[in-house]
Amino acid sequence: MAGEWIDFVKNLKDETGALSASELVGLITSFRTDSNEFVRKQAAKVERYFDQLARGEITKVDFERYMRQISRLEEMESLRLSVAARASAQRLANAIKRLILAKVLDLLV
Amino acid sequence: MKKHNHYTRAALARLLRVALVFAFFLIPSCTLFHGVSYYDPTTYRNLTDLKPHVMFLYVSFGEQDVDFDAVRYIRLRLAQMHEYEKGKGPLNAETARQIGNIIVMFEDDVQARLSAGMWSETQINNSTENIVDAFDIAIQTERLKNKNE
Repeated sequence: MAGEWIDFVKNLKDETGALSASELVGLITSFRTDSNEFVRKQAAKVERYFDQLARGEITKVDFERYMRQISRLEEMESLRLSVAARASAQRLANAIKRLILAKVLDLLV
Repeated sequence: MKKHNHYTRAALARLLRVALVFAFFLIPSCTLFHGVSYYDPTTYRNLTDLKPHVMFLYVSFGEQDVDFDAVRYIRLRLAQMHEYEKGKGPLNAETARQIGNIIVMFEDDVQARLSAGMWSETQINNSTENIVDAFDIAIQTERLKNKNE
């Protein structure tokens, strides 16, 4: 059920005061409207896992494992973005070498 | 006058050539760009071939018995792929690290299945979605690379 996870998080008892339920809810909700599709998808998963945890469909151990997996996916996405930027720079460098240095300059002289 | 124009054009061309050579060496030396390996069809094939094997194995985690042959096969293939990617050197570091992440995720799931027993449909769906996302990111990464033409 949509939104079930919010009640679940808000009902979590944190005696240390380290967890701010409203802050966590706000953070996840803001990620759901992020401009990046990858971020939106992972935020939707986190909401779903909280829902499943609240309904007893998954255990705390499962939840922890899924969080670790999302963390791994985020690292993989960062690596993908790094490759995308460098592949573009490589295309530019190759174009300068192949087209401009090799051909265009000869036409200018 | 015509000769003067010719000299001016030649000087301009020389200047442009120097500027472009400078730019050509400057681009690779900037912090953003330190090269990236070229597209490798073997890497693409390895990833797309193994992905369905892992998906089918995860579905079988909902059954009583664990298919240890399939677990061993996937472990071996992932280890081979990791060595292959690492062997391409530092320009391929991202893909090697991505495959390293897939290995960690896979082992984490296998351990969870072995220690906690049969998976429910929810558990199968969650873990399958995440491992498929991991494979898809690695596949997309390979597709982003330029062809060595």
